[in-house]
Amino acid sequence: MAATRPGRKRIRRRRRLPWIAAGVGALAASDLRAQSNLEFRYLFYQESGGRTAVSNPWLYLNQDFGLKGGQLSLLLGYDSISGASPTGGYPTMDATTSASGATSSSIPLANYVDTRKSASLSYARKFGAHLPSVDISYSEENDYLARGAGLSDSWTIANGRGTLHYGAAISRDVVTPVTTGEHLPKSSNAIAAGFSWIVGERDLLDVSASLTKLSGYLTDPYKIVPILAAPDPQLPEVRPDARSRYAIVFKYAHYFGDTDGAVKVGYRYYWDDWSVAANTLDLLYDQRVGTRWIVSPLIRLYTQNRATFFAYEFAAPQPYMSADYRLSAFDSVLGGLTVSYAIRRDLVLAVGATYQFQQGRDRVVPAPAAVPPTPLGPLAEGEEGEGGSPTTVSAADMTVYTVTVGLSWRY
Amino acid sequence: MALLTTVGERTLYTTQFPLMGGPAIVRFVDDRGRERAESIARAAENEAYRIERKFSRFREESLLSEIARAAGKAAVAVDDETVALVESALDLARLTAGKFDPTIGVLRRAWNFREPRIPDDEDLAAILPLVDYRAVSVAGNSVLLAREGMELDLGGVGKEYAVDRVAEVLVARGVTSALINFAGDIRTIGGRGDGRPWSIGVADPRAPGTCRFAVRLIGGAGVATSGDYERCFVKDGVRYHHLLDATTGWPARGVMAATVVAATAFAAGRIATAAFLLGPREGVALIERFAGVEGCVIDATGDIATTAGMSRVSNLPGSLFAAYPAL
Repeated sequence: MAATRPGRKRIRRRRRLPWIAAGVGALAASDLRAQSNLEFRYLFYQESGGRTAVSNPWLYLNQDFGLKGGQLSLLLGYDSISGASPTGGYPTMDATTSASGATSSSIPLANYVDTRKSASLSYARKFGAHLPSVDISYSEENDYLARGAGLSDSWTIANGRGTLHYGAAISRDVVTPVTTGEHLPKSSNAIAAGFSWIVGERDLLDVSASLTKLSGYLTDPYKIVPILAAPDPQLPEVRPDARSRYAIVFKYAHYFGDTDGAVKVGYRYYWDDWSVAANTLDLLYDQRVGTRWIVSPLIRLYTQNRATFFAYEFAAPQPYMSADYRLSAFDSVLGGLTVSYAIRRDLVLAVGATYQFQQGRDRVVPAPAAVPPTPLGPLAEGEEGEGGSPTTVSAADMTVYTVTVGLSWRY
Repeated sequence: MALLTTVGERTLYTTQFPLMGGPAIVRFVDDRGRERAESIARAAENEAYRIERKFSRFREESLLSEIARAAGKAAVAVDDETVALVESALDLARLTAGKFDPTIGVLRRAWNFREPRIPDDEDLAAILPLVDYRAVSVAGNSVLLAREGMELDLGGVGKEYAVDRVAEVLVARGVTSALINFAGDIRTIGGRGDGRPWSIGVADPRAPGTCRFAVRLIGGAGVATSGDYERCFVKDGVRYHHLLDATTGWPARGVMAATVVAATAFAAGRIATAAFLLGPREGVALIERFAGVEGCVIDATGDIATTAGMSRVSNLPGSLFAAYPAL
């Protein structure tokens, strides 16, 4: 563990929705069929420029005890995290003075390693038109402990054509920065509600909304902010101790019977009271090829505004201030492809990869020292193209790729 | 050369080229058109290369190689520029009681920082008699190394000298705002041009790519750093670096890095090297002895000791930039 740790990286796992996991045709029947499965998945995540890398094997068991017995699910994960993350340090030094021969990255980074162990358990059982479920989760890192619980229900209406789903979740976490050893509480209370509707034979629409109230220690203990005016050149970042996050999600799926393919479109609008607003557009297509293959290309577009208290440098200390690029304005494009192969009727191997290009909109002029030395050639006219717009950098600039391999056994 | 940004008629030009094994970057603001800027950039580059050719110990045709070949045999006639540089290096040797020594180059026969090999005492003992600044004689415009096998190495001051010479080239051509950065040795000319101070990060010796604090300069000055984190290796938990104490032949201990701000890069570089070799306490005391010179020493535990006035030219506590306007 490095002495300073620049912030945890979380790999978000999307809750698998039936209409995401399978074609629309399979949706209506999925609740009725007793079906257990055991799934092993390995994810490798790598950011460019020697930044964060995550190696994450996980195991998922879903045991179906029949209509009266309900379903019990267990998820176990282990993340091995290493690499470097921007500290929030000012990237726009005119130059860096260093020992002979040294050049400096224009984005200050700090190295870190960590591991994250996580487990979650959920149970669901059908009661008439209702499918209530309860779940608990636990995860721990060197400096972060998370304990969560949730309750939700899916209420099938209109002869199975529609489903109302709603739930609540809480999390009680403890942040223990390695730099101070303090135990700092953080809590999250969330509610969500939505509505799914099967439109005709081949279309599915889902609209949902969520509200999450965070409170407690929401600052990243390893991020710093550069202060142009002393007394200290760099101070720890300070974020408000409360945050209200809102999201509205629209999802639409259409099944093409002729080609046995399904297109899934998702749009999410997010906003919070730190003035961060984000738009996410997902476009996924599942195409069955023959009887054993499913090919699923994915495109995701993302754009985000900055928080009110984000800046690369502050003139003087402020009540709230952060130079963490995750609170800056940036855009990203993600492309991916997953190929699934049914080895047997009950055994599916899936291999997927994604590539994401992310670029910050809060940009600053880079440090010349970061530019690799190049011989001075003749002044080409083409270089005029650079005129007028300064070459700039953002700590949000990076590319990310992931590789996933999964094996699922249905029994 | 790339045109980076244009504000009215004033244009920021950047040119970069490899020099003395590292990157050389020259940024300057000019308002007399591209052709003129091109000519200024060429002149700056030519001057830097001239110094590299003349004072590199690695070039057969350099003056230093000629002086080494004549060691123990004859004095070599040199020009005023060389005399001044050699005298300056000898001054630095006297200032550090021989810990810095311009004849230290021969120790590279024992130390090769590209591979983690620690020389034994006998290796060093065989070479150390050739390391002796008192055996360098400067008489008029000639330089003599008293013993055969000796070499003169101006690497400790050559790069900073090149920075200052390039600054003179720019000033002579009417440039009033520039930043010259030769692998971390820096000189600014005039103001930054946008009302903000020049901001020069001071590298954190143990966290590559990050800075401990920033030097803030309103006008022209030189900034240089000596550190144990380049050309070094760590073996059995011990760091061996290229800043050798010439009296022992072993890496100087007690300091991770020393940074100095002075009127010129040449002065800053000399004093930073001396402060590094003298150790944290003596090093800061040495910097304090020079009027108009500020600096800091990061000791082996990572603590920063600064001169009393360092806060005036940095964003360290007590900085005058506390009242600096917002961006």
